[in-house]
Amino acid sequence: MSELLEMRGIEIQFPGVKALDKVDFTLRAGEVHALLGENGAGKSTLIKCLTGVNRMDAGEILLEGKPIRPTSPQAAIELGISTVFQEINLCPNLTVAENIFVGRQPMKHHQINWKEINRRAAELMERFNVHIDVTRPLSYYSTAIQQMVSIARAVDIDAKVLILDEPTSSLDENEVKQLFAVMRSLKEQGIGIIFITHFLDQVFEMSDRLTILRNGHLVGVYDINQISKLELVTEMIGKDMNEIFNLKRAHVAEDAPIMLKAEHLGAPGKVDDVSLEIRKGEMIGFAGLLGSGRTETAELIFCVAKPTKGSLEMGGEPLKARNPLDSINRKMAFCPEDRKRDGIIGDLSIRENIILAMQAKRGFLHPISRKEQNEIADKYIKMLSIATPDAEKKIGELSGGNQQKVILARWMATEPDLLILDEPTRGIDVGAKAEIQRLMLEMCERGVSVVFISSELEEVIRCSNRILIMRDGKKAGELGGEFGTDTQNDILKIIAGEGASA
Amino acid sequence: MNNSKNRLGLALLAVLCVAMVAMGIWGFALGGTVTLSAAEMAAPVATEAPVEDAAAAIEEAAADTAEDAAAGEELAEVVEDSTVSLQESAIAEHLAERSGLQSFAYLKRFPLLITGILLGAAFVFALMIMGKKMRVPENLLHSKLTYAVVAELAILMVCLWIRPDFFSIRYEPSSGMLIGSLITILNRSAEITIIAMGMTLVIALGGTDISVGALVAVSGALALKFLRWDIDVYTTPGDYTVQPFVWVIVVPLAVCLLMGLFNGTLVAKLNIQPIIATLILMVAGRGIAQIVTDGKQYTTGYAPFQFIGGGSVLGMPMPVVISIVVVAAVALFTRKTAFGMFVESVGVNRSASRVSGLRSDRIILIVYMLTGFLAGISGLIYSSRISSCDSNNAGLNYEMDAILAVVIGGTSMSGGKFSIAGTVIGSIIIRTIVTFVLYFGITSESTMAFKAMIIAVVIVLQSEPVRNWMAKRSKARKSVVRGEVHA
Repeated sequence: MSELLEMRGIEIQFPGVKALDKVDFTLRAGEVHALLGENGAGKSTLIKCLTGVNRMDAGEILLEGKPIRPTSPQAAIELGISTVFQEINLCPNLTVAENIFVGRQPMKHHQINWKEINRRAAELMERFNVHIDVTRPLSYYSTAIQQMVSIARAVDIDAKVLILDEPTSSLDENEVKQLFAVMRSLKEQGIGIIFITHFLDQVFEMSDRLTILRNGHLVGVYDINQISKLELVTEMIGKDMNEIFNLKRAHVAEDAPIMLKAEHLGAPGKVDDVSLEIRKGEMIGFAGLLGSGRTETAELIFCVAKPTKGSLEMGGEPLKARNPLDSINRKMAFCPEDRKRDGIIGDLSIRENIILAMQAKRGFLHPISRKEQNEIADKYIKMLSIATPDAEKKIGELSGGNQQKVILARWMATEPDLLILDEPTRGIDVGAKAEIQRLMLEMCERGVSVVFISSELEEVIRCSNRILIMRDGKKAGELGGEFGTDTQNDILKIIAGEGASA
Repeated sequence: MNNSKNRLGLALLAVLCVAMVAMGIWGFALGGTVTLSAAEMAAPVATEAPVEDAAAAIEEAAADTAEDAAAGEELAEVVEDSTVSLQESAIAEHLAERSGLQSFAYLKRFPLLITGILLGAAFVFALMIMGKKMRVPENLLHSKLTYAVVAELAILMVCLWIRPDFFSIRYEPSSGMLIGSLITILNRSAEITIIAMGMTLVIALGGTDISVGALVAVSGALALKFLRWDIDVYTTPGDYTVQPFVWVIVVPLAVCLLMGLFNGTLVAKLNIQPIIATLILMVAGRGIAQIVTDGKQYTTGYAPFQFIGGGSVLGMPMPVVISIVVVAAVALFTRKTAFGMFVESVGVNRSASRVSGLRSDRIILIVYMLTGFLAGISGLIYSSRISSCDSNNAGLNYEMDAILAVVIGGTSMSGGKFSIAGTVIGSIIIRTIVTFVLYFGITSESTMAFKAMIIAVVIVLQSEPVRNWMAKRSKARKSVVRGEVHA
């Protein structure tokens, strides 16, 4: 295969830090090339360099053998380099067709040719095997479809190189399959795809080759069948993974008191009749597909949404919360799924984000002194090894994994008895993931009960004492005791509606 | 950045104050001689047209004796009011003509301008030096406040050029008040400053309250209603009140508080967009004010009421005192409790704030109520100043001035971080511009356009590209490389 894109000896200097140091990268036509590395390894910097956002200090880029030097994303697109970002960069209130053609509408008699737009949009989506009504507003469709639309838009602009930055992080399994099908068809058309993801399984499923970066250096380029998963992870974080994957499940005494008891919890359209019990120091995992009611159950427990049915008991006493504050006052904590929407307060500093829940608990008339605030912030920054120069940096400027750690710190600071974590490890790299899992288990050791919700069965099985499986807003089953190698299959069966509840 | 930005704001405000006082003293030293020459000039002019006659007489009076000077200043103050715009334009034209007559005057004052520019440059330079030492020059050059202060100083410099006695401040024993343009600026900016305190919090929440101008009218109408309750019996205004004086104060404030509650309920509980929610009272407010006073303009001569807008404490005009108290109270309330942080948090991300345990509804309610209440105080000051109520013109366009003050002060319209000190500077800038326009001798028809022009310059100076450009230039010059981690 010919080299479609070649980047040679790329160097980028940020003030005080060498973000990229003599990195080479090649992409062939018709291949999926995974770009891997921890947060801050230089993946995004490399991509930004290719799309003209960052200017490189040294090195050269060759596209089809010709040197290029894109100066802006627009210039990159004109050269045939299109990017689809993790966050969908489209207008939800415009129709699908409008979104695909906005800015380059076909004209007829100085007017927009709507017929042509809709016809071509429909054709394009058809080519991706996505059968939708392109005249509906984008917001009408699921995230996966929106993702496809944004890929369709990128590809339709005569892309030769397509960059997919974490395209799967907000998709469920079926949607991921759909996306992969599209990627395969693009591959056949000879488009080179750069695929950035944290999901290693997907790397092995989709990619032909992979490039690993670490701290701005090139670690290696491998064919996909040249390397095992464990080797890959070891290369990525630069240390042996065994230590990290050898986490021990929390030990729960038989007679440990029951911390939270939910009976027949339900709310219309969300969850129907969920009962569960969590003991002190126990970690309970929620498994199930997206939209199966995992998140909704957690929200009912924490009273983000009020349950209409059922009862809750916390620490042996009935809990009748009207809002999240009541739940916080009863020593509960909740790390929500959508970090951007429900978690971080982007413009406030790390310090303020950490003390927010604690301050809310105390009420605004009893402010935490600045000295105390600094102490708390510094303590958690150190404890969770949050990568930041100081506590006054805006949380919005941190990487995803560090934001998650700050949110975790916010709740740890309230010293909860029950901690609900909804997808705490989504979209963050392996190292940070392992660290968060370690922290969760430490919390359990200290007698905190943890509810752990995750789409990655592997980590749920690794950490939880018991697993509750949800399907269609109902509790479909519960697994406890010792988990073996076939546990994952058992869970999948229950999710698919085949197995009986254990 | 919360506190560091705050400290920056306070520091800049302090610098502004010190600069104003310093220039005031300097102006005082200069003031005497120039006023004399102005009086000399005023004499021959006085024999010309009758309109100019009156204007010149005022000028003459101002220069003649100390006692009359007070009256002159007071008149000049009244002149600023739209109610006597005719006289005002006459004075403006007269001033313009007079400056034409003594064409050498500008040349004589030229050294003053040079001094002013040097002073301004020194100020900027000092900021840079200080910045380098503190290692936050970028921060400073990125801050909107810096440019606001620079703009304010620049306007003051030009004022100084036009009128060398601009900064002179005198104590007037007969009225017990300090007198001078700077005091007048502070005095006349009181209403906007007070309203803008509430508006700062509303905007920090990501909202706007456009009903405040109408609330000013409501508050004034209610105050006069209670002063002159039995209008049929006591047909002429005088030094009396029909209701206990406490009602005259409490009722308007309580009603404005309730109207704020109404706004807050629409925004917090019914999720109506703030601009729409407050539009209701913006339209209805003046109507309510009309109903309250039966469409009449009541006037009063009751001294305690007039004291609110016209009195003084320790030489400071009462409105200045009230606005200082309000600013201090709001600053303490937001920064010494956690309320300010809660407001910012809800303004940035309401959903996340709720999950973190904030009662965002309650916070929004409190802020809108506070804004209504402050608009009420403003209304009392305004109606006391004119000893009357004016449903149509009281507080006209105050909402826009308040929003402008907040924005110039560096608080973003999209919500989040806010700066009390910045808003105060913003409010002072707006009033300085108005005063400047009057002193420049601009005719009243073009006042608004002229004001807009200066504001446009200030806003452009504060715009992000300009600030980035300035910061970049300073960055290019300095050799210190700060360690910063980029992902």
